[in-house]
Amino acid sequence: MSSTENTTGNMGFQESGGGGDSILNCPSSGMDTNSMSDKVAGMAMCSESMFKSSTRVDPFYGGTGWDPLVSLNHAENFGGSSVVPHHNEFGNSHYPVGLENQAISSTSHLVHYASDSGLGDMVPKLACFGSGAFSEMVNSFGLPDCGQVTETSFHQKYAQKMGVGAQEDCQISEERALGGNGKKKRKASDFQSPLNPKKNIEGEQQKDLSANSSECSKEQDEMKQKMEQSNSTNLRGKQASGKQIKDNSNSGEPAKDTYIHVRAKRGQATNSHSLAERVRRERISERMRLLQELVPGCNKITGKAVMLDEIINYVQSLQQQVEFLSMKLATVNPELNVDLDRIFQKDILHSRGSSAATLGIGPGLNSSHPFPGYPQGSFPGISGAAAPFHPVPQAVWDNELQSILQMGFDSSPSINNLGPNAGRSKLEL
Amino acid sequence: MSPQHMNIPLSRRSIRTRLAYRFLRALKKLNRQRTGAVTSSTSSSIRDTCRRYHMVKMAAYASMASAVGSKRAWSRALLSKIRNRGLNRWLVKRNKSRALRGRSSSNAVAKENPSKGSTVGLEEAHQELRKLVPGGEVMDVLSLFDETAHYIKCLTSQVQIMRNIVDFYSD
Repeated sequence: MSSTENTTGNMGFQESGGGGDSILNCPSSGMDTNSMSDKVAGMAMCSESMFKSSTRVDPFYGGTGWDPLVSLNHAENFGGSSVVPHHNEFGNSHYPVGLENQAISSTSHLVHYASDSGLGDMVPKLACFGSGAFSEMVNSFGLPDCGQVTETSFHQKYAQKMGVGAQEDCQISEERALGGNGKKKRKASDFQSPLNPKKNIEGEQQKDLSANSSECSKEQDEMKQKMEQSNSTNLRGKQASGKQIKDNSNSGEPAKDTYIHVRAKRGQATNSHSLAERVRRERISERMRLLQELVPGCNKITGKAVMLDEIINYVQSLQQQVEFLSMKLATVNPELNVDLDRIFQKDILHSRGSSAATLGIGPGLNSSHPFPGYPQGSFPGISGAAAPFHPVPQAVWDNELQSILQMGFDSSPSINNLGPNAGRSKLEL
Repeated sequence: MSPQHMNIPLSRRSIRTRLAYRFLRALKKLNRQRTGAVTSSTSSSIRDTCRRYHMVKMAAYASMASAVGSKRAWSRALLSKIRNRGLNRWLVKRNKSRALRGRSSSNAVAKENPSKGSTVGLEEAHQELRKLVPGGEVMDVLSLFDETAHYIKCLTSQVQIMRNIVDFYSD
């Protein structure tokens, strides 16, 4: 993880090369727009820096054709997801590590935190929007779990004081980030509906463009174009691992929210319909996974259609088994014509000392049942021994019924989980 | 049946216990009916066996549904079907659809999968599942999967219980 962090930090810092003026100009505007971006964790900052660097020119590095996608690559590796790079203009491999390492080390823990909280998938999204728009965009999506919204102003300030005050900035930003979660959540509540994120983002993008200097905006436009292209082309579900991360981040939210806060991942359309559809698809795939656990032998199957076919076959086979066994019972029952109470106890006796496979072995006699030498399958003998059974208290029946069930169910360990319903997430009895 | 048996509240008893209990009780009832009838007629004809088979099958589904209670949509649908005496119809319809599916699905699936595969086959599969799970016609896909999972659980438990009883009988 540290290596990836270093690379991401490198990426970001390389970026910052370009126009120092823009950096100087940015913070003022950035501060106005993103007051709560102060809460951004330094970690976010580092990863942010990658994306921001694409948008803003860093005075410290001659970052020219930095490919945001490459940095995204690193960011997403950092976050644990994968990115489809569109073009690799930037062979950014060797960058001065010294400064970055200072900053990275100070913010490394925050970086970890971000990745743990699933911020990694949030990070790629940063590149898709303008610098100033990012924090608003993140807030609009309203991830309460990730209180670290990368902050344009913070990033700009960081770029400014790169060499000297970088660490202090990081720490300050960390404190602010950790302390300002309440503010962020309050603002996040303003952007409740997932139907408005696109509008908000566009508005903020415009705000940000106007606020930034020309150099900033130029690179922003370039990045935005790239992002829009990627958005239009990678519409659905290209980021499978990103989806998982989003699952993790979404799982922290209560299921009973009226509004579902969804983060559109990189390269996916941010249309409200597609967001809702993605949520729905994820839910369906969750349920499919549960079903996959239930149906035996479906671990290797991928794909909904095949899985559905398997499920249907399994349900049909179960129903056929029910019919077959009921036919068997119907034919077997009248021959015996025995009172079922006695059958229960006989069943219990059978189950006591034997497994389902060795039912004939017999005398696992319960001490409470003084039934000597029970003849297996010789039911006429039962009538003679029926008398001693009646006074047997029914109190033992429940426990012994359990044993019947255990006898049969021990053979299938998967079924054992069904009764006490241990560990089943969604199924309730 | 026994007072001690009722001491444990219904919710805390495991699903398997409840299923077994109810099914055995239903079987007992059937047996009593049968013993009442058998004394009159000495030979058990095939028709009797067939009728008994249907009774046992209905008893299995009814006991399964009543053991689950109203907690699940499929059990509610099953219980309402039983009350409306529509269970027979549902069973017959299911068997018919199963036969049809066996014949046509192989062709359909073979055609769909190579071409593009997912969407049309998915919808058909959804429809099939709806027919299999009681009450599935009116559910959306999400709850359909939930109900299917619970239904599969209860079905497997029921099959286990019945197999135990049959094994007990046959040994």
